[in-house]
Amino acid sequence: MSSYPGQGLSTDELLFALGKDLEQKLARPYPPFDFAEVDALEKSLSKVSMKIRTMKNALASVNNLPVEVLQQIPSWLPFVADIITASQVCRYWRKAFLSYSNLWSYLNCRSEHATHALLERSGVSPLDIVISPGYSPRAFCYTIPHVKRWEVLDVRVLRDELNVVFATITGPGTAPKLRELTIVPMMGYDSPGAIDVKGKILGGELPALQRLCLCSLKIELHKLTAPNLTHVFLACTRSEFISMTALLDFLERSPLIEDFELRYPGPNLPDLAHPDHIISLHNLRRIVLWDRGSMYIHHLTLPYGVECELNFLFTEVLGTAGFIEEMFAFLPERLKPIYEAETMSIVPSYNRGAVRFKAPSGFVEILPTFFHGDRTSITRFIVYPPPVLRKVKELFVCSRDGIIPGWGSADVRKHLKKMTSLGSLTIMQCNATSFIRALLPSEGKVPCPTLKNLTIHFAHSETSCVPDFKSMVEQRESHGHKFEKIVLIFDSQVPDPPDFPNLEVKVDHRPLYWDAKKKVWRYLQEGEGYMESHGNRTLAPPGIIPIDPIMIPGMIPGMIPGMIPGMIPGVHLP
Amino acid sequence: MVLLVTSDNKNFVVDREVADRSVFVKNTLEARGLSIATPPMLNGGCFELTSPFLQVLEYCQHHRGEPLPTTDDANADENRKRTTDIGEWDRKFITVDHEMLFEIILAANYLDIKPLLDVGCKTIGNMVKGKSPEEVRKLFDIVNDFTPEEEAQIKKENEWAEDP
Repeated sequence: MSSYPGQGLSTDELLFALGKDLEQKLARPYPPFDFAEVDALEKSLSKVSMKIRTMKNALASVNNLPVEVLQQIPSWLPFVADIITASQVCRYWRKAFLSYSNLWSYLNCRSEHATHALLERSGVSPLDIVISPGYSPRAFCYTIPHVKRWEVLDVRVLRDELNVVFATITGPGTAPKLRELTIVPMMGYDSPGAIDVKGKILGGELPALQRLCLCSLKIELHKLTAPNLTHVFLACTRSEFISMTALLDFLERSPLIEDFELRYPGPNLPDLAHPDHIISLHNLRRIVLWDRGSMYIHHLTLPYGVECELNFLFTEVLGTAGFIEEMFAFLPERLKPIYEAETMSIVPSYNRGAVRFKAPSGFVEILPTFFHGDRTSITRFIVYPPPVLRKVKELFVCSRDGIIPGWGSADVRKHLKKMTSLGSLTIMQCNATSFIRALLPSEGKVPCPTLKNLTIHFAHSETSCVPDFKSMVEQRESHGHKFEKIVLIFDSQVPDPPDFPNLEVKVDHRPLYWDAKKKVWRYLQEGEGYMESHGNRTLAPPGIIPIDPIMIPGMIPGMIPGMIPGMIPGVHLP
Repeated sequence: MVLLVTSDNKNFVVDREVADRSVFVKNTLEARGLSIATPPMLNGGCFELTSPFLQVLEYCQHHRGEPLPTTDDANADENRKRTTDIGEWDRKFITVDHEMLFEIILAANYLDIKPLLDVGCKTIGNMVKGKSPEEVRKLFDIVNDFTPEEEAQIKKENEWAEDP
């Protein structure tokens, strides 16, 4: 452990500094002294005074820190100006910081003078070159002879400023220590025309590269070899494309990739890879694909535990059902080996959609979202794998304005039957008929045999299904499965309400809507309306309907459950 | 459990998981072939810094179970783009007078507890940030020991930093 350097002075050294005949000099009557003699004396005193100050500084608590610890302090300072300030505090700090070359290895290339000075001070330390708009191309060129020291090259400049960078980095120099390469032209993703980069970047061989981030660049990936890559982020404009085959080949040559994100790119149809072109990235932990780039998922073998997110334009979700079907048809098969340990969700938000896999929770979730003008309504579609469905004890299903015609009825019945532990079912303003039919005994079997509590909030004057309801209750009772409590809520008076001893009938005409901000269901008009129970009419309570999520192990906290499977064609449970 | 003995013969019995936050202690225990099952003693292994030791133990206790820094993390430290943010608990923990702060840093360095050392150094860095040399001197009871000639020389050397 090194400590404050021995800069203290011995008595002899002090006397030497002041001059051995100091006593005699001071004893002499004055004048006569010549100016030279006084100046010399003054200089000696000043020197001694500084030496004593240095000794005093050795007693400062902060200077008891070992020099290697002291040197760590300015490495946490964000600006070189602060490091320079620190190096001007005292001799000890100056010596400590100037001798620690790593402190001076961050170059923003804004000034030739500064770049030159920092290159000198940084000695042989690896360099972080960070270039932002307004950088000095000449200053950047100063770093070229030091390319072997480059550890980070982070370029985020205006499109027009990139020419010098590319003229430089596609030259003959190699950067064997480069760990991070980021090139982001500052323009929108939708700007026309990507920048065409010809030639090999830094010789094409980047053996130490771990992180690669390239945006809006047409790069000849087949000319780039980076076997130690762990993180890859690629983003492109709409008007360009990355050759799918070339990118897959590139990924295959970088088998250590843990994190891969691909934004906005093709593949354009003429460049689709062969269906059999499937690569394995065994270290992959997270993959995020956007838009048609999601098709890359077809060509990757997902390792166990991978976190996957597929994002796509909502218009594509609704507008090109065939595309979506094609996209997701493979999922059950691909997920089969890991089904019970993985979760998957399709989460459109605003005008986008996403599919996420998370590990390990044990259910699959599909969540479409709809936006109508200034009103948000959300319908949740959750598909759970059978092992989880069997554990569901309480289920809440809700949609605004009733179920969308043609979607899901068959699957609702199919999946409800898998909930063999279901004890409580609440259906609010959905297509109640399909649920009622799903609860009908069939071929001697009673669906949801443990179901005891049933609440149905009918929508759109669904009073016509009252006979079906009566029949369902009677048939279940005939098989020995009685409900303990049934609550039926109609939006208008029912001419012939069912009459069961455990049945409560209410009237509440107010439609519900989903308050996305507060994540609660609300009546559309608070405080208006009434409820009717056994002929007694009371004012309906306004406001929030608290809904507890169904209890499923590993469920995401705060998730509002509902279940209408089969919303998106092509997604089926195995 | 692990028994740690400080230089003034005070004994501290801590969980192995807590003790292992210190690479020094961890390596010492491993070198002596001690395990959790055998209550180990650092025979004669004394820590010079008794007073901050309790503080350090508190830190280790709070951060027990968290992943220990890896070699990759150490490499990343060389990268200047490190965050100077300090977590809320750590910030409260390290809000002590200067003497104790330096003692904690020394202890963290001695015991090889990198995350604690970083918190200490970041804290000093945050104190220095944006201040003039004179303000820093005042903060840490340091006097200017440069001669006027040296000061002029230093100023000249750092002229480049004043470039726009």
